[in-house]
Amino acid sequence: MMAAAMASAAERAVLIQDARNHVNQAIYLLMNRDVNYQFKTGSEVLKLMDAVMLQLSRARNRLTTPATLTLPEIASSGLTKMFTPALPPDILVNFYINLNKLCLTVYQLHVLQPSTTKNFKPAGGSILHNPGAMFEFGSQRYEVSHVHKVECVVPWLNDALVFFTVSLQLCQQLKDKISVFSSYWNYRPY
Amino acid sequence: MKTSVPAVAVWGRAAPSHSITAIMVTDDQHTIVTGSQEGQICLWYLSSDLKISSKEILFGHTASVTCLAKAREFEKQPYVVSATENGWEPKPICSGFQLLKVYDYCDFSLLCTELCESGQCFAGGEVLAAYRLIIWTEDGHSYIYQLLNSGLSKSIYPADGKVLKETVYPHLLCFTGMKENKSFPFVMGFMNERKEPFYKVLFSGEASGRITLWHVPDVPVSTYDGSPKEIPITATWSLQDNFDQHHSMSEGIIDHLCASEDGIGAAVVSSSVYLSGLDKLVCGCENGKIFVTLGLKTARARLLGNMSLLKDTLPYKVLNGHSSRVTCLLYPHDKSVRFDPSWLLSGGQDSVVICWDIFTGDILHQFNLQSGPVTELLRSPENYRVKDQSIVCCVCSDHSVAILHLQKRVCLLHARKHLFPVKKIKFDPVENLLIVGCEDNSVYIWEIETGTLERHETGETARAILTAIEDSEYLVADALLPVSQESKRSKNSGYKHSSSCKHGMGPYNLTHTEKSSHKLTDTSCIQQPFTILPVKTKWNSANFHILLFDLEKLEELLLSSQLNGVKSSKSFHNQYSLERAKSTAEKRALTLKRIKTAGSIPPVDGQVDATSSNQICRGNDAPRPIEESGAMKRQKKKKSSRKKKMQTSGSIDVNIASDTAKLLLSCLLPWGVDKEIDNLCVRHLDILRLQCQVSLGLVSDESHLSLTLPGWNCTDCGVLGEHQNKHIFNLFSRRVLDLSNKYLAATEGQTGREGPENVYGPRDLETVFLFSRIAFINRIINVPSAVTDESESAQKSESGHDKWRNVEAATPAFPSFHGDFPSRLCGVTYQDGNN
Repeated sequence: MMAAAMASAAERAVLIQDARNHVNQAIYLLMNRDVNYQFKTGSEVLKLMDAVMLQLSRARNRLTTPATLTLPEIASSGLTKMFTPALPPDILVNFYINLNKLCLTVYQLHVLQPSTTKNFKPAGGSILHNPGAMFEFGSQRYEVSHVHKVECVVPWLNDALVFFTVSLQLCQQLKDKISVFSSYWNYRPY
Repeated sequence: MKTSVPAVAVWGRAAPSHSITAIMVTDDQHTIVTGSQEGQICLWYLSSDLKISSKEILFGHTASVTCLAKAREFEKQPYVVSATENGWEPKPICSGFQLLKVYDYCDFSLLCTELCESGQCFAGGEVLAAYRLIIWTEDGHSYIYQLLNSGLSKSIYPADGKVLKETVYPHLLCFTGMKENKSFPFVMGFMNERKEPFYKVLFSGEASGRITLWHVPDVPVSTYDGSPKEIPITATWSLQDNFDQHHSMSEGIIDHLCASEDGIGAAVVSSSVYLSGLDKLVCGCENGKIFVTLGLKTARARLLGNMSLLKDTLPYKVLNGHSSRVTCLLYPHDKSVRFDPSWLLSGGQDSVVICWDIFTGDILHQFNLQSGPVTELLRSPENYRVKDQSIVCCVCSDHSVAILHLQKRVCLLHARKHLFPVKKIKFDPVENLLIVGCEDNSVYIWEIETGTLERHETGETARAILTAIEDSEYLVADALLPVSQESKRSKNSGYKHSSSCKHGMGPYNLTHTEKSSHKLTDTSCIQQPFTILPVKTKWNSANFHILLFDLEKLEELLLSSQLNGVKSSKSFHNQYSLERAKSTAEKRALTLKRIKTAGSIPPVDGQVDATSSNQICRGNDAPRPIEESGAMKRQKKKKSSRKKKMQTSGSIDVNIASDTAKLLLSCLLPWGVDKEIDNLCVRHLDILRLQCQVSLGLVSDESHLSLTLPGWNCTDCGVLGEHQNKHIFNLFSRRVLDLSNKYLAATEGQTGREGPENVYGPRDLETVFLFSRIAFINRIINVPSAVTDESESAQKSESGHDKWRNVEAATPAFPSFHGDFPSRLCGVTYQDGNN
């Protein structure tokens, strides 16, 4: 399992890489101009702050809100397939970041017989599926029988989230301060 | 069926802001398309000598436009596809800008290696001709390079570039002189056309909304001494240029009022609201004054020429109470009966919310919030009424939310903890909680009674709380008036005015207004055939108004009024309002009597009706009695309104309908094509000439709005520029002339016998007839689009056929109308004579 976690570092990196790209774009927006550039209007700054905050909040959302996946999506994802030796067919694995935690979820499946009287109701997308959730994958119907969840706190992720929040607040405070003066602007931004 | 509502825009002095984020030129090089951060798309006309003028603005997106592309051309009709970033999960771009662009550049020029210039980012490039490249950067510069003929990639290195000057000369094309203005990257593009009538054009759009064009010569050469030559700017244009050029068109809707008020110059309208039930337009200005006028008359006075009389006699009231800019207005009775019909709320820059009596102009109460400018005023949801009758929410710019109780005149709660702008406000009626969702996706839960913050949640929990409340709310209130921003956009029309400031323009709200208006008509409220929709733009204070005409409704009203005029003796009332009108009829008769006894009514215009003139009186020079009778009437209204909703105030007068129709006809008629027709229209039909060209527009079914911009096809109200147009217009105007001649011939005998008052009859009838034609054409245009839309279900196309049948059923009405015209005319004129 340890090896598997190492192998899935690439998968985990996708989320972090996404967040990082957003941050890079925010930095790009901020660094885009000359060092001695002078802002002429308040609305110019507001627009810039809006663009930066959009990127920052997207970056934060990457980490705070893990994707909601359906069970077939998990089954067909690379996560389940990358194990060598391969996982038993009745095991599904999902691996994601939620806030400052790395989460590993293992679903133990139970094959539903076609003749079963249980009425089949496929489960929708969710971060964590509960036992009893059903789905169809490759013309075979399954039911989740057990769910195991392992969480691991990553300290630097926590820091990152705090910094995201602080930077967003800073941006917002700058916006608020500028808009105080908005009543004195003689509108003609350019 | 696709319904489209004709609209007329009344702009303000300032153009709506348009921060260009995407730019494109169509293949025929006659149209430039730009998408903006605000979400609007602008079409510009590019003449063959490369002059730019703005043409049309399209409102559809709510998020920033990221990309524009040509779609396949269907029968020479170019389609343009636009994309925005409005999803929840936008795909992140996987590599940084610099890297990507340079790589692109390499791909383009298969021959040479990277060209790196410090501090600049290449934004794109294209091959001009053999071995010639044009590349442009994100700060608005572009360069043409000549490559080595041999094509040896080794021979060109950035460091050696200066050494190999003979073969590689960086040929500086253009400086736009906007170095200081590069807060946002330029969007550039290049159009390479080899065919003769077309040009090689380099174009760029700026965040400020300016478009710049360079005409790149076919064979770019450097100056004789080998230094790079600058290619001059061929054309540059912005929306504001257009507005400045045609400032008669870009005059605000109440500018003439403000000007006459203090003589210093027009005050800029900072917020406005239209009370459709009362036909009142309320405009709050930058200087803190609030003007209350009659919507239709204001529009007529603004748009029509030779209306100095109407302008001078336009009734209006000024409410003085705010010391600085009026930031938002709310008429709570509009969509919810539990509010008193006389209440009008205004919030100002001075952090004061004032509750006015709209009929008398008195201040009922003044709430001093002391927390920055008031940004939004919202009604409480309908399901909250169990607790309290008249509660209004007020959002201030320090992100605090105040709950005001209008009846008790107290501020129940002032929630001031929010760090980020407020995005959603919800009420939990069961536990008496206020739930505030902020822009950073956190949620604050306040107890209204105690005023304490009960919970603060972020992330997933916050989202869950918000969605949970949303669901229960919809179940209870059936999407009547939930105060959430989301549902504001998607479900109701209650907050169309206030929400539009946050989302740029609220095109979504448009349809919902329409839809709800239809709903309202079903449920016994009379909706005016004419609406004024105030629009706030996102970044600047360029507010404008859109006049919307409901063609079907108008036609219906006009026709029924004509029929009624013949059959019954009450020409005031149309079939539509008959049931309810019965009750109001006696009342109105009473009022009329009272007016007659109290004093004479000075008729403002030839056909000003009594009801509208006693609703608002002009300042102080109007005779007192009318005001009193108006007040009396209002008293009655007040009493009866609880039960009867807005009927009394909302009943539509025929005169309003015909005035509206005439206003629309004035906007549509091709003035200046034929003098004879012009005269005929003005003298005979009483359709007045326009003061200046108007911006026409169309609101389509999916709540998309297109508006022509000032200056497009502007012909100074006189000679029409293009021959084509003339031809098309003539087809129509000929018909008008023919028709009117027929009518004239038919009516000549009558008018001779019966005296001068009779002129009214044919006039109205012709207006009605003309109008019904327009409505008919509108229907015909609309129906096929529903039928031909093949992706629609069979059911839908069947309904389309039904419409056809309806149309066919309706058509015989017109000829018969036409046929026994003289006899009807007698009835009508007789009627008019009596009244």
